[in-house]
Amino acid sequence: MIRNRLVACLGLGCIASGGFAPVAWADTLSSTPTLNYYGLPGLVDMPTAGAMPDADLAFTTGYIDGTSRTTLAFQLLPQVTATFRYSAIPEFTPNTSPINQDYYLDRSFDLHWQVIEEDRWWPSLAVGIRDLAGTGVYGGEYIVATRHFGEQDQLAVTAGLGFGRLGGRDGFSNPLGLGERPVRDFGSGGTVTIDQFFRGDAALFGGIEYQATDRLRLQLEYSSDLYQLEVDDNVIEIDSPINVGATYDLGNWGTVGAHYLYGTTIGLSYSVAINPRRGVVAGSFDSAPLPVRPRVPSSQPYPTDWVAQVDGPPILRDNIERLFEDEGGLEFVALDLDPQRATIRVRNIDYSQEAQALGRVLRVLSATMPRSIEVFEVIFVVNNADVSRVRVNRTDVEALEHEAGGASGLLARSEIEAPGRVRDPDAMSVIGSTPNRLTWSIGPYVETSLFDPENPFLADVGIEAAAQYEFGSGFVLDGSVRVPLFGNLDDTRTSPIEPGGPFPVRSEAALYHQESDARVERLTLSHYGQLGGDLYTRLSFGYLERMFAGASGEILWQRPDSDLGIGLELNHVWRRDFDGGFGLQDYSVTTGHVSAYFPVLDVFSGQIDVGRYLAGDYGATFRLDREFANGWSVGAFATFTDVSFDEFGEGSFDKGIELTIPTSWFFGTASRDTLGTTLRPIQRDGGAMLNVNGRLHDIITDYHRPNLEETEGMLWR
Amino acid sequence: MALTRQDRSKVFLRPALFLAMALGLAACSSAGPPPMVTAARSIVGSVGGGTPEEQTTAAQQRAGLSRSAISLLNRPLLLVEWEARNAATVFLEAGQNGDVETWRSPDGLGVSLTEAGLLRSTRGYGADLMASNASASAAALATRRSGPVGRVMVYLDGELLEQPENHQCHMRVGASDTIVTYEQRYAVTQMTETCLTLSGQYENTYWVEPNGTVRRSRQWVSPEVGYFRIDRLN
Repeated sequence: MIRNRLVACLGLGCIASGGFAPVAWADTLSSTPTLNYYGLPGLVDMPTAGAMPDADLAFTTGYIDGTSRTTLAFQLLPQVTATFRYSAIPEFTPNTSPINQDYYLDRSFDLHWQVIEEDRWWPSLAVGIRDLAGTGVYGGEYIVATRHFGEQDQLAVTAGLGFGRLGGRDGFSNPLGLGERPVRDFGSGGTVTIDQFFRGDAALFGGIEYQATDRLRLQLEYSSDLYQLEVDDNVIEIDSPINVGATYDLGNWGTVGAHYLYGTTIGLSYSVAINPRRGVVAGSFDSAPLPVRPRVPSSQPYPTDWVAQVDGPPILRDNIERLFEDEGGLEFVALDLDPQRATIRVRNIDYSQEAQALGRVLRVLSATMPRSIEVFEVIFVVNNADVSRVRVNRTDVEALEHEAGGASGLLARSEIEAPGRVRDPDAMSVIGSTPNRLTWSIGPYVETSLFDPENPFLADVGIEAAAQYEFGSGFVLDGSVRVPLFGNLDDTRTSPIEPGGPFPVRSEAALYHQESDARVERLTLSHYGQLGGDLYTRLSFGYLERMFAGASGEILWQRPDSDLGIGLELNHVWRRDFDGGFGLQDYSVTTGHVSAYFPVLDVFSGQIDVGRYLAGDYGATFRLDREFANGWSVGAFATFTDVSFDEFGEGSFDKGIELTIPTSWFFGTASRDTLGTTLRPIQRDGGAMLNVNGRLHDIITDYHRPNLEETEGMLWR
Repeated sequence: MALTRQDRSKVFLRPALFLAMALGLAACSSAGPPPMVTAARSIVGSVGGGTPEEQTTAAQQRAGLSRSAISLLNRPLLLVEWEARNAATVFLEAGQNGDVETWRSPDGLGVSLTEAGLLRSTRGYGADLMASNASASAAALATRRSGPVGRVMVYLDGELLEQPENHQCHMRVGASDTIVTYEQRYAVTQMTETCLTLSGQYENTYWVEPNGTVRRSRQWVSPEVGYFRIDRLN
């Protein structure tokens, strides 16, 4: 496949030679549409009715005569594209009180929905809303249709109807009968102005795109965007509605574009896409696991006198630990046995696909357990607390190792339940050599603050030392210290406090940066436990995060065989001193949430939290994540509280995008490490939640049936 | 003009980045280097390229073995050549479950074959053959009969989800022949299995002894890995 993919086939090369005749798959205009200067399927400035391949994550940057637009677009669903855009428009002042003279920095979100996919008799049809909750500078909506011609869809013809900013050129009164468009107040932005959508004058736009060669595409468009606001400020000149140019596909390095726009100016673009569903390798480079060792068949029942063997426990412990060391990535905690059943407790250190950890433990059990044992139970231990119990029959392990469908077959025959439901066997007990676990690390860290209108990119680089000690049953002592070495986070703007606004629980980040050097990032003592039934608990004390210290407690009800869960969290915290030491300020608050976890449309995980936030405000947070079996997660959240949009200030309400990328996706080898980032257009004080480590839901659900079944492809890996 | 706080931070930014990278390469933890450090090191390492001694061909690796060495070792041995990489490795038997033998190489690669010699799965090659059901092919090999056979080959996709594929194959009995593996002669019948997949086709070749053992074969693993040539050495 020839694709603009940032992550290529490393090492092995993508297609092996020698006698394999592959069918050629090329990117066509319809399968992989060009991304326009707004980062969405389109021509140049205008949209088309295309959709990116499902789950594509595309980064586009476009430069037109001083204006730059940088967009992150995600194909949420096969038909829905969502974007987050950061633009810089030079010497532009749409509102009366400019913050920064040189550039007007604008954040916007778009939604693009391909309503109808192209077929023999009709074109594809899409509907889009641009700048849905931003400051409105790019605000506009459109309905657009695209039809492809040619055997390989080389020619695409697009025509559409634009509203708002896209209804500028030769606009006519609203054909949908929705009347006038309310005047936009380019205030602090952030509100979703539903009363604007598809209202006001409409205008026609359209264009043609031609795939000249495998890599070269030509675009010609008629734009309905008059850039009225920019023209008024002398940012750009519009002489003609015609935009023309070309894009060139550089393969794994992205796509570059150059266009002549509006009869006056040159535009340059670059876009590159990755897809969570395509990692470096469709599989893993992990070394081969221990083969299952089946029992020698016997007509007599297997002997059970081993139970009385005095040196049994050390022999079993040494055998298990030796094999775990060979496998790597697993730690033996304890083993309890009776003549028929063995219950092992393990820590999964390295396997990001939890089913792979389960499979490797079962292999080791098959090789080390006395032959009379018929039932294997695996209890996964996280933070020194039991999370779930997986019960399988030994004969199923022996029978399904090599079968096509053996992985799903084994899980279908297994029982997965809360660990406390059944009592452990008690004829023999074996304790691992390392019942407690100490981990530590020293390394660099980077902390960034993005999208501030005055300073769009602020970052600190420094050293972080962290340690974690799991001891007792369920206790964890955890701490980290950060020493910033270089950077400009000290320049973070001290946000003006809105009169009557919430207490500055987050917006005084500048003071935290400026008044601290080496700082205690976190120092907590936590306890994780399991009440009867499907209830899990967490209790944390100490310096929970950079800005707050106190106590945090959580209880989660989560069925091991279901995606549904309900949690309750209660915190009482004091604001920490700015100097990053152990001092506390006077401000304290009790916060708490009731959380509901539920699946959405099969591919998303939804979460709703209702409760009280750090500034004492009450409200709810809505979160939607698209999670992938390989550990990737792309999601968005928004919080609405009784802090009004005006009181909140710039941005109007808390919202953001969260990305989690498993490092195993880059290298094809087992690792539970992830890179994560939260992109927030702005961090203010309404709807601010305590940033506590180790919340229960993600930890617990890793070892429940839905996740084990999702990762079952790696069970026998 | 005195340096303001802003100026100072800009001056130090570039050397800071270099220092951060250096620290990154020096970072450590109780579990080994943090992931980004491992990443950086592997990227730096791969740019350097392999040393001349590492770049031996499969032919050279085959030449390194001899019948006397095989007899001396006195254990079942399998020689697996990965054609696309031009590399041949000797595998030792690591286990047996039912009629499937699992073989393992010194550097941790794994291959599972039926007792007769049909490939069931691979481990460690990236786009591995995760599992397969080729019982019809096995029966055709055992009885030395031509005819259509169906295979199920299970792979993982980029999301690490199982993707089973049904391949329509046709087994053809070929000529009788004699092959020589490290000075040992074997009388064999050559059999060819031509398979169609959604995206192309491949051809497995087997050299089968009278007792049903596949003494030598050329078997398809996956589009990314390609063919293995497998020789049962003893």
